[in-house]
Amino acid sequence: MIEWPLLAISGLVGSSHCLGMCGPFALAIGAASRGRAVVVHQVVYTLGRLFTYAVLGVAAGFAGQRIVTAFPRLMNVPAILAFIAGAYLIYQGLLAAGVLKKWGVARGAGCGAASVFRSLLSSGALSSVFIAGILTGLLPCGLLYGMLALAASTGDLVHGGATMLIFGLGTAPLMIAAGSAGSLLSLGARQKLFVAAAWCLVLTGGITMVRGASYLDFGGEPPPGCPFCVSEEK
Amino acid sequence: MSHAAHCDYCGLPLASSHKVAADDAPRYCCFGCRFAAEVNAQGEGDGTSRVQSTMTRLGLALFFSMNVMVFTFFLWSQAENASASAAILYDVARYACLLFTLPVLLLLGGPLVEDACAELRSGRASLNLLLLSGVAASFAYSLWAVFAAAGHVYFEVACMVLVAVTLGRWLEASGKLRTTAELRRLEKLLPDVVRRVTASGEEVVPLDAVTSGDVLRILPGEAVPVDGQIVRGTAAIDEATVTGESLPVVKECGHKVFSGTMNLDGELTVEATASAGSGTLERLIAAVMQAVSGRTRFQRLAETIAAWFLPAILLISVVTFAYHYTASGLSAAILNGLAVIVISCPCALGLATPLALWAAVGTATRRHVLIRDADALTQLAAARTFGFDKTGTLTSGCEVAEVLTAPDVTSEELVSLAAALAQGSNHPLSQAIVNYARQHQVSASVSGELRSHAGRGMEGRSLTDELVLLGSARWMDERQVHWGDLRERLPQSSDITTVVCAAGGKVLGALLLRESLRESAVSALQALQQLGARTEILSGDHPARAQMIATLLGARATGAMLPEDKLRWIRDARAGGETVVMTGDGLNDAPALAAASVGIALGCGADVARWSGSICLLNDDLELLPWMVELSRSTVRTIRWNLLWAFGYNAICIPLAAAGWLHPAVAAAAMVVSSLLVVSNSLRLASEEEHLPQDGLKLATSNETATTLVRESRELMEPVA
Repeated sequence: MIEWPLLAISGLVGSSHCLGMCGPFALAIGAASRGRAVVVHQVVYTLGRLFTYAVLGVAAGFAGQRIVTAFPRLMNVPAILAFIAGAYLIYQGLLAAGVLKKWGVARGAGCGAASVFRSLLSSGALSSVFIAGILTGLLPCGLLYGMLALAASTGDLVHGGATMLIFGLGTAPLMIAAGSAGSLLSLGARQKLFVAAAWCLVLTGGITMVRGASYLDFGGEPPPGCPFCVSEEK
Repeated sequence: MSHAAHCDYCGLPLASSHKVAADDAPRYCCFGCRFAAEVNAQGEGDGTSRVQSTMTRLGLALFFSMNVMVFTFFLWSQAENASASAAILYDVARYACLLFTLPVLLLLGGPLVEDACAELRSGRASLNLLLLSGVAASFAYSLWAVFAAAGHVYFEVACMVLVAVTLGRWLEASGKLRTTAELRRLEKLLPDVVRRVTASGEEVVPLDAVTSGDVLRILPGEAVPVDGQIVRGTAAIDEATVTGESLPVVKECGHKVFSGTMNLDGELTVEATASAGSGTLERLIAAVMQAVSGRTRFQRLAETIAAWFLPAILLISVVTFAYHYTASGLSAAILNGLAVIVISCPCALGLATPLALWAAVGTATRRHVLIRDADALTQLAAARTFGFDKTGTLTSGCEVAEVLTAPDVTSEELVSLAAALAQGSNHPLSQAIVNYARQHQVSASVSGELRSHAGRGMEGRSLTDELVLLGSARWMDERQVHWGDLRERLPQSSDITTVVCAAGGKVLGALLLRESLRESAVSALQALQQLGARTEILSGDHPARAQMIATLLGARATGAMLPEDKLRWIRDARAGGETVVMTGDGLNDAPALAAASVGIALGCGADVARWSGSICLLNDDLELLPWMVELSRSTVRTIRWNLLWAFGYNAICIPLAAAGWLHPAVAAAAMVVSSLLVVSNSLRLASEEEHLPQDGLKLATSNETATTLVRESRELMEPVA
C-alpha cells in the first residue's frame, strides 16, 4: 500500500480537527499530571485512541471483505467504497471549511457520558488515561467515518487496521504536543490550521475518489498504487 | 425523610417485590443503580480507589472485548481451505480469544452474579440468572471447542453481552438519577448540622437531633432547618421553595418560618415547632415522592404486561433452545436462546412509563408546581373542560375602579381622607383603598382614634376635627348624612361595590370598587382556550358579577352556585365522559377539587399537608396551567412513544432471535440502543423549558439580586409598618 504516507499526512493535517474536538480531553489529562508524567500520560492516552482506531479499522476491513465476497462479480465493491469514502471526506472537509452548513445540531451527549469522561480524565491513574483514550476513539467523528470507509475499501482485515493505525499515528504528534504544552498554538493559528486541514481533507477525498476510479480501470483488480504515487514513481 | 422503599442511588421507589434486606445495607432498584452508585461514590472523597476500580473495570473489559473482537474478525474471515500454516494462525487466534475473554468474565461477571443471587434470595423472577447461564454456556461451549479443536468459538458473545448489559443498565441508572435531581436538590436545602441554643450556651448538633421546642440560631445565608417561630431578630426570608414567591418576605419576632426557606440577611433565633424531618419542606418532598410511587394507568398496563412477559420469555428461550438443539446442535441452541434473553431484557418496557413520569414531575417541581398524583399528570393531557372558582382564584382582591366626588371636593382630598380611615381596617375593601392611595401617591391624613363598626364602616376625626365616616351607602343613611346629588350618580351595576366617604354630615364622595383579576388570568385562560379547552367559571357570587368576569376572560359562567351545586356540575360533566379539571382555592373548594378528575389547588402556600387536589400551584400563577397541559401532553406522548417502541422492538426482535437470525452480539447492541432511546426520549421531559411564563420567575439566584429584592420588599413594607 503505497498511499500509507498519504494517510499519515491526512492524519497529521486532520489532527487540527482532532485538536478542536478531542483537544479538551488531552488538555484535561495534561492538567491532571505534572512534569515528565504529562508526556507519558499523553502517549498512553494516544495509545488508547490508536488501539480503538485499529480495532475499528479491522472491523471496517472485515466488513469490506464481507461485502466484496457477498457481491463477487456483480459490482466493483472497492471502487464503490472508495467513492463513498472520498465523497464523505470531501463532505466533511467542506463542512469543516465552512462551505457547507450542517443540517441539524447534535444534542449533547447525555446519560452520564460527560461524568464518565470527567472522572476518567481527572484521575491520575495510567489505566484511566488509557481507557479514556479508548473511549475517545469511540466518540462520533466525521473524519473518522471517512477514514473507516477508506479502511473498508481495502477489503482486508490487516490493511483496514493498518489504514486506521497510520491515520491515528498521523494525528498523534499534534495531540500529544497540545496536551503536553498546553495551548501550543494560539487560537488564531489553530483556526488557520483548521481551515487548511479542512481543505486537505477535501484533497484526500478527491485522491480517494480518483483511486476508486482507477479500480474501475483495472477491472476490479487492485491497482498498483494511487495515481499520484504511480506518477511520482515514473 | 425515610428511604424505606426507595432506591439508594436514584431515589426512585423500589418494586413492591423487593424484599427488605439487612437494615442498613444500601438498596438499589436495579443492577444499573448498584453499578452506578459504586462509580459515582468517588465524588464523595476517600473512596476514590474503589470507584476508580469500578470505572476501570468497565473500561478494561471494553479493551479486552475489543481485542476479542479483532481475533474474532480474523476467525470469521477464515477461508474454507486454509493452508496448514494458516490453520496454526487460526488456532492461535482461538486461544487469544479465550485469553482475552477470561478477564472480561472476571471484571463484569461479578456484579451480575451478585445481582442474580440477590434476586434469587428475594424470590424474584430473575432474567439476570438466565442471562448469566447463557453467557456461561456460550463460554463453556467455546472453551470446549478450543481444546477439542473442533467447532466455532463464541467468546465474543460472552464479552459483548456482558459489556452491553452493563453499559445499558448503567445508562438507565444515569437517566433515573437525572429525573430525580430536582427532589435531591430540595433535600439538600436542609443543613446537616444546626446551632442549638441551650442554657449553657450554644452547641452544634446534627439536624436529626432537633425536636420541637428547641431554640436554634440561624445566621444570614443559612437555610431554616425546621418549621418554627421567630423569638428574636428580623430577616428577609426567601420562601420560593415552599411558596413559589420569588420576592423575599421580611419576618420578625412572632412570625412563622418554614423548613427549607433561606435566611437572606438577618440573624434569627427560632423556636422549633416541629421536630426535624416533619417540617414543611419534608412534607412537600414526601408529597411528590407519593406521586412518583403511585401507579398510573400506563404503569398498571406496563405491569400487567410485564407480569406475563417474564414467564413468556422464559418459555420462548427454552423452546428456542430445544428447537435449535434438535435442528442444528448445541452451539446454535445456546446462541439463539441467549439472543432471545438479551433482546428481551425488559429494560425498555419497564422504564417506558415511569422514567417519563418522573422526569415530568421533576420539571413541574422546578416550576413550583407540585404533583401529588401522577395520574393527574397524564389525565390533564386529555382534559377539555376546565372549571374555575372565581373569588381568590381568577380574582386576587379588589381595586378602586372610579372615584366620584361632590362638586366642591377634589379627588385627592377624598382619597386622602378615605385612605386614612381605611388604614384602620383589614377588610379587603379597605386594603384596596389604601393601595389605591399609595399608587396615586396620596398621603393619608387624619387625627385621633379610629373606630370600626363591624359590617358598616370606619369612623374617625379629620385634622379640622370633623366627624369622618367611611362605609356603605346604607350606613350613611342610618347616620342621616346629607347626600347632595351623589345619591343619584351612584351606579346600579351589580359588579360594583360602593364605599361612601362623608365628613361633617355631608357626603364628600364615593369610591367604586371592582374585583380585580389576577394578573395571569387573562393570558392563562386564553392560552387554555387555544389549547382547545372549554373554560367555565363556577361561582358562588352574584350571577351578574360572575358573568362580568367571564366576559373579560372569554369564558362561560354560572353564578350563585352553592358548594353542592359545583359538586353536581362536576359530577354531571364527568358522567358525560368528560375529563374535568377544577381549579380553586385549596381549602374552600376542597370538595369540588376532590370530585374533579384533576383538582388544581391555589393558595396552598406553605401548608402542603392540608391541600386537597392532585396538583398544587405553589406560587398561584395561573399561567402555569396551560404550561402544565402542554407538559402533560408531552408526557403522554413520550410514554406512548416509549411503550410503542418497547413493544415494537420486542415484537420484532424476539421472533428474529428465536428464529436464529439475530446474533447475540447484535442483540446486545440493539438492547443498548433501545435503552438509550427510551432514556433519552424521557429525559427530554426533564428539560422541558419551552413554554415557560417569563415573568414572576426571577428567583434570587445571586447575592446581588437577592439584596436588591430585599431592599425592594423592605420599601414596600414601610408604609404599612
